[in-house]
Amino acid sequence: MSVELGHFALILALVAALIQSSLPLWGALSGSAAAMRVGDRAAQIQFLGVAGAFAALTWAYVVSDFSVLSVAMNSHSSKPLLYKITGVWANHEGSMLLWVLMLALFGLLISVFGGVIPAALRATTLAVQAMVGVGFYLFILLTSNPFERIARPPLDGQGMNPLLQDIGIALHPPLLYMGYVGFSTAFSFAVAALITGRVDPAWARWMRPWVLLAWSGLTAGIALGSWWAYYELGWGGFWFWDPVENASFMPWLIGTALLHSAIVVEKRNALLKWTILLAILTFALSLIGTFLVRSGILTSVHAFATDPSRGAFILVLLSIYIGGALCLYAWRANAIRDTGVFALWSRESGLLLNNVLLVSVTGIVFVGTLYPLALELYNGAKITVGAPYFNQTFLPVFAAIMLVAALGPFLSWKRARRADVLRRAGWVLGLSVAGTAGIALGFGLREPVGLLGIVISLFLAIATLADLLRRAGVPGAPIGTVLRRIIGMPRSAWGLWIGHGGLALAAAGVVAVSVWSAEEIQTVRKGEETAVGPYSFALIDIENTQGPNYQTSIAALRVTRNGELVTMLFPERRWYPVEQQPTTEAGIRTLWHGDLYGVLGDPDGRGGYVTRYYYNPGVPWMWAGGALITLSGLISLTDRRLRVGAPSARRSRRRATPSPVAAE
Amino acid sequence: MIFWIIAALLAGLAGLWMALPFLRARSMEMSGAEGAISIYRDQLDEVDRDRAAGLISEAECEAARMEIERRALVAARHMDQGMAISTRAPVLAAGLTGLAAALVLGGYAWLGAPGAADAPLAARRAEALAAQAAAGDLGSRIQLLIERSQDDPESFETWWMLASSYSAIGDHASAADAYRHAVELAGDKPGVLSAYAEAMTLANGNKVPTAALVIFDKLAAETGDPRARYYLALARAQAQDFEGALERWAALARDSAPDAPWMGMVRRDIVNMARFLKVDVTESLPDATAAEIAAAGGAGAGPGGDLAARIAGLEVALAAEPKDYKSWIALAEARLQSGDEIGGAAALGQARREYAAAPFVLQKIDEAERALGLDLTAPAPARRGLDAEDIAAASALSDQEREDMIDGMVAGLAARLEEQPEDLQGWVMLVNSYRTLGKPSKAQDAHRSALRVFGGDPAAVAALERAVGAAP
Repeated sequence: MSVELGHFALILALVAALIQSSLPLWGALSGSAAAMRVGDRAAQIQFLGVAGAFAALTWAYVVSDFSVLSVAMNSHSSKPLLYKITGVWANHEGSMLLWVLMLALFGLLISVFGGVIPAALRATTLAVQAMVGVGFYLFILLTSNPFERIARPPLDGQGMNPLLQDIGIALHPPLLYMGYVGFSTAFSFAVAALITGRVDPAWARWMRPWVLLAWSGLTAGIALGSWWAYYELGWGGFWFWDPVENASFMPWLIGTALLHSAIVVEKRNALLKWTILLAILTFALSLIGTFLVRSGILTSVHAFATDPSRGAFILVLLSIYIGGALCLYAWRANAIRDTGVFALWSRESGLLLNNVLLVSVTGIVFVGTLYPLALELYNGAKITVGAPYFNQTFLPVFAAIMLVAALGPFLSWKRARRADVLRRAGWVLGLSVAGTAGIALGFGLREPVGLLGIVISLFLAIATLADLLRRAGVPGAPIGTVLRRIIGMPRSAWGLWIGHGGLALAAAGVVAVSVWSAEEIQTVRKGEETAVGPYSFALIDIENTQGPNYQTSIAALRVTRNGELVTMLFPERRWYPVEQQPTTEAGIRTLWHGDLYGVLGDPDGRGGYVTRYYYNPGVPWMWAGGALITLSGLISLTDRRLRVGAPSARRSRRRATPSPVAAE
Repeated sequence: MIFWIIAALLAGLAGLWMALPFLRARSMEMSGAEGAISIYRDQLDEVDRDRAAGLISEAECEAARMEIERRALVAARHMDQGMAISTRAPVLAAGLTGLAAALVLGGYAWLGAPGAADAPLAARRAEALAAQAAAGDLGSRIQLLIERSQDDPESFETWWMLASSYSAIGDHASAADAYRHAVELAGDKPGVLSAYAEAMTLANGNKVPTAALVIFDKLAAETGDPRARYYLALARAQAQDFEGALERWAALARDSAPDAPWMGMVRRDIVNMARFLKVDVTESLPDATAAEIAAAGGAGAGPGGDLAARIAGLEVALAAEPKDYKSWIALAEARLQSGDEIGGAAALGQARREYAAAPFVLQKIDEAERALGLDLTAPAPARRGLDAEDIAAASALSDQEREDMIDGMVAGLAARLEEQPEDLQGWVMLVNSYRTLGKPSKAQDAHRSALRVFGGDPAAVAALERAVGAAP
């Protein structure tokens, strides 16, 4: 009965979403307090319903209930329990259920933690959130129902792609969805602001935690996906400008812009309209990402078995939400007034410039991703837009973004002293050029592009550190004061430093691996040595053996540097006979400055093997940088000022006189 | 039905929960600006903090304060506006509850499969077992029959099939138990009784127990059941009455059709027994084939040239590589054919010592012993491992025996490292032992395994190389 109860619960969630999208909105417009409160309760019911549905589906996967079509198509009784559970969202139907689960979760969180948000705004936000939900519930129930049953269940399922039976890729979708779906909250706040006509610093502060949470999840999701591609696909690369990767990267870029412009709204009551537009566009790009992956337009590991009617359905939803929101924006945006004014040299200008640049790179990625699709639609020509395009267009603008990110913290709000800023920038530039020169001489590096990249990364890192020290009172303040100030800094300031520092670290890693990685592809016999950069790789041995459900060849590679043994690597080449699919398991040894990476390819039939050896400097920095950036969002989220610190409307009503004293 | 009751209850409760605000006597919401004001307070704090840290000048600080205060005033002015009030609306609440419940139930009735039961794989075990049993999997068949016998313990058919399935996989003790149930249900059916007695015998290591003997006696007397007659003869042999056994087997062979299913076994035993008693096999088995006559050491022929060469070949091969039980069995067979009863038994004894720790091989050797009839004539207990006697004898080991003992120790080390590989010294010892024993390929395998365990640790790899040399 649990499967059918799950199905029932999903329909209950749909009905709750229908009520949540209509009654509270009517309440907010007509001034009915009771109708507005229905929003909170409907959000709770909606979440309980979809959580029940998700639990029922997970249970069906765990106990291998093959009377459920989705389980029969995507699971297998002999899979380890972990992959039975992650298999729930490793397919189209289950992943869409995860999508709406996240959506309902964010709705629930708004209703639970949104006590400070004025009732009308909260009710409207919840209503908009539910409108998005209704569309996706209908999409799931009508085109991709995970609870579809089979009359004659098979005795076993069809299994799961062995490439996806991996913990890295198993956690990738939930995090990615946390980002995609979390941005729907920003969208709901933006549309609610347009409906209620209320946009002020408080609005930005109420929206910001949701954006931070979504953005952190998306960052972690993208990093995990990239990490998986790096170690599992065995190409030695981590980012391929694949349309599916771009689909998740675009919301990240524009979401980063949103995150920064919301600060301007909160601090200075400026950039209001721009922030609302960014919120709408961020969610629009999340939806486009979902559409691209689900419609079957793209083919990749991610493209689940596709069906044109699903793509069409999502396209219709996309047009309604994005088109509707943009129309509303065109109609109502003029009523919104900025009151904050700022000079050309100010923190506001810096953030605006950063926004413009981030939106530009988003546009660059958007064109690079969609132009080939549009061209194919227009005249049938198949072209690929790959790394060369992005290197020439994306990278220069991104370098400018990093420079602005470095200088931004030097600018004070409203009006900055230009001479001060330039002086500090000069110092930082001098230090970073000197540092780069030292590195170049010390390691004998010549490539101008790489050195430029190092200068920029160092510039950002040093500027960030300088800002931290300056705020702590260096130079001048006694060491005790400095330490006390550093500890007492607001968490959002730590978010800035950690985020920018992480970006500098990741960028340095990307530059290092792009410019100075050493790669050798060759056919070797046992005992042959190959020089790879400063290292020497020797194929010592190949052993053929059996794994639990695959056959495998394991190579033993001996890596030396100047004759000294550094490590042994054991790359594998596996063959899964049931799925008729090979996989490679790269042999990776991570050192602080880079990865040693070996891949075993096919035998040439005459005793030789194709092998690929890499020395990838900077790769560990990249992952560490990604982790720091994710962490920065979470740390900002814990800032005291974003917590529920203000008195709720209800609590203050009990007092004799409403007082503006905030509880802290 | 119960599903619909639960569903209707859930739908109604959910609808009621959502409609509850309409049942409150009075609801009021203020479009509060307090939130905004607390933000301005934070901003004022931050300005003060920046001033204290010397990040902004006094004039900047004042300007910022003024601006923030101005905004706070505007926000405070908004506070009085927009108060939302509503009163109890029971009709609306009832309507909302009813609509929600109707939509949910109607939607499910349209899309769902009411009444479709769950079908987790565990609950479908019977179905899965039946499918596997149909595909010829005896384990599944036995599972299925066990469950069936528990459901209906009075079914002779089930016990009978269960017992024969157990026999088929060689679990004679369980087979005997199942046959006992079948016997109780079937009464004195001769076929069932003899199958039971046979299972008891096989479960007893092919020695006919007294209980089985009673049954066989009765059956042979009443029905002349060939199986009973065979085992009675076997019991004779086991009681050292070899002539009596041969006589009975010969009689059974005479009375049976030449293509009867038991004839292969009977002829084999007659041949073995004739060889042992050194009598002419054709007396007991007039239609003995040439091969059988040869195997029985008949026609007075000494070891033929071929046979002698074969024995010599096997002996040489086994001296070089003693871990080859098939050759040991072949040697025992060849020696028996050449009339060397003691040599045959010795070959199997030697094989047993080589494989003292390998139950699977020991079982094969037991089977060979039975097929060659050596268990009839040499009733010494089968050796299954080191016992007190072995340990006592270890003080007087020959070189060969000492080497065997080392062999066993090395095998133990390899097995332990497989379980607990994080032991560098152990691996070094294993590689060196294999080299000392003159097994370079095994040494290489062990070296590989050690490298795989310690590959990420250059210090350990270096230590390994110092101890056993460079990688294979």
